[in-house]
Amino acid sequence: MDSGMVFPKLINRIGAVGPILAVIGVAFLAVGASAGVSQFYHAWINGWIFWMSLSTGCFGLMLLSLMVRAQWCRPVFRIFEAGAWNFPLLAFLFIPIIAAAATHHLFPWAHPAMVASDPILRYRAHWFNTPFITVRVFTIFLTFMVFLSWLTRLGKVQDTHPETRRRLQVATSRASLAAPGFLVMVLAITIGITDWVMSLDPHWYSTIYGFLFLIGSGLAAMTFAVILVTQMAIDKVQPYEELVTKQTTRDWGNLLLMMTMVWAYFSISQYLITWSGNLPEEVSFYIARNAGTFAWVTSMIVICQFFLPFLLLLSSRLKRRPNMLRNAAILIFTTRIVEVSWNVIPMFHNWRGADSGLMVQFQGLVSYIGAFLLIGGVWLALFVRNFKRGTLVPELDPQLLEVLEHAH
Amino acid sequence: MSNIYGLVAEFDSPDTLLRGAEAAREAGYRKMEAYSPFPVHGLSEVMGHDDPRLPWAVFIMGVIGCATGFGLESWTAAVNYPFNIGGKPYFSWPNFIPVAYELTILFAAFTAGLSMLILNGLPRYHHSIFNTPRFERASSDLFFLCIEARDGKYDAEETTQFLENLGAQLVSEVEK
Repeated sequence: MDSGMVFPKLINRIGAVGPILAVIGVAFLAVGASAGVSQFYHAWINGWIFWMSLSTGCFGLMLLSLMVRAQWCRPVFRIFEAGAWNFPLLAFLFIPIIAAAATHHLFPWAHPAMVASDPILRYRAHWFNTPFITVRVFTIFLTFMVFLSWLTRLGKVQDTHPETRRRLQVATSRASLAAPGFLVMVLAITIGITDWVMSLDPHWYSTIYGFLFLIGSGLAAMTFAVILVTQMAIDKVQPYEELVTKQTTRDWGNLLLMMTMVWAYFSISQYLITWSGNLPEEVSFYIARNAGTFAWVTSMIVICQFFLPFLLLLSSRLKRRPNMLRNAAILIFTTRIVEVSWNVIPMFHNWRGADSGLMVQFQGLVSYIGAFLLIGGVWLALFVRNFKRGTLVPELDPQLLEVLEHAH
Repeated sequence: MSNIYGLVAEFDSPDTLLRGAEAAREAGYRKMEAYSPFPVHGLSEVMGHDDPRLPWAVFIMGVIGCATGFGLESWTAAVNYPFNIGGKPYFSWPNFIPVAYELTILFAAFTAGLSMLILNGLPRYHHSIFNTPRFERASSDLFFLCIEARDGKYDAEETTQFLENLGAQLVSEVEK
């Protein structure tokens, strides 16, 4: 299936741009991280978290598509699958973070002196230590990969088997595999995000953080797929032009509207509970994000991640037009990048006093951009390689096609 | 004033109904309605069902609901009966969000439900469409397309001819 298939120009272009972004990223990171190895680790985990969130979202929406098997899933399904297949890459790119923990960097619980003087960190040391966190991260990736390879192998059968009855059976078994996979993913990501982001602050905690990360990941992946597919439909690439109907873009728009509202709901829940409780170890999260430049970033996220997309996506006229839906998706996707950094970066200024000085801040910014581009460039290049392994649009549900055939 | 509600064509499949409705709309008929035992994919698009009044009514009432909730809380908590709760300022807006949100949903949902009924002309005791012969089978195995007499293009003979050409198995004139 690999050879002889012609892939859309946009996909090929992303595959070509990926390595270039990675090289630019290396240059930026070299300049920025010359400030010190700590800065390198800060930048690395920030970049890693964003692309991890994109793959997580792709995985979750892939499982959802296999369960609901709706018409709107078909044009975007292969994008979700290809994004989820970047999990091996992300597992590999986690190694520097383990190195950071092993060399007493990045995480407060990895500093022996801090742990010794802090009873809370001492108490948590059974859970937060380098060997255990390594076991956890690789268990998470291994579990994801088991589900992913199984589902993809069944997908190959479903795409090629000549008998409708057999294809229907395979579709059903994929759905019954995807449902427990979704539950496992939610639990695994809740544990993962506690390790990777929440534990960057010595004391802060939030029990909704896993869900907040998951819905953000869903938004990132859905907008990523919508941007690509609507652009290909606008470029008159088949079969996308034919499949991206008004009905489909309306479904995507409504899905994005729902996710935008759930994101806002979780965010305001976390904020409201923290604000009402008014406990020192909880409010530190928001105090750090309402100081200096971060206050502007916070307001920008509230507007661009909720109010603007919410009002835009209410309009049914916008949801009928692929180019307008694409623009709304670009707005959300861009804000996702900012919001992930807004979650991660202030963690580093919380517990050892903020870095000041223009040069330090500039180098910090350059290193954050560098790690983001480096990891993102490799992610995109491999995404295109994964994407080219299968058909552009899978069948998903043999019965759905029959129904559609019947209707038109 | 004639006593005729309209012409009702009877079809035996969702396909013929869909094609019939499409052709009728293209021919310029506007006051028409389709009846089927189950939702027919694409029918509402063909019928041109997109009344812009409903979404706007829901949106405006949602905004009013939000303002009502937030306004009531602000006024009672900060002006009418200031009360110290947990040492927080009187005007503690984060606490007002849940109620404002709930009232947004409440006003919007009630508006959607009630406007749907009003715009559909419901509730009513009787509808002329039930005078159609065999109409009870619209809930089991037949598909109907009605072109109303108040349509500008309506002409008893011409429209009957038109509907018969669409492949209707029976076209009947239905009284009010």
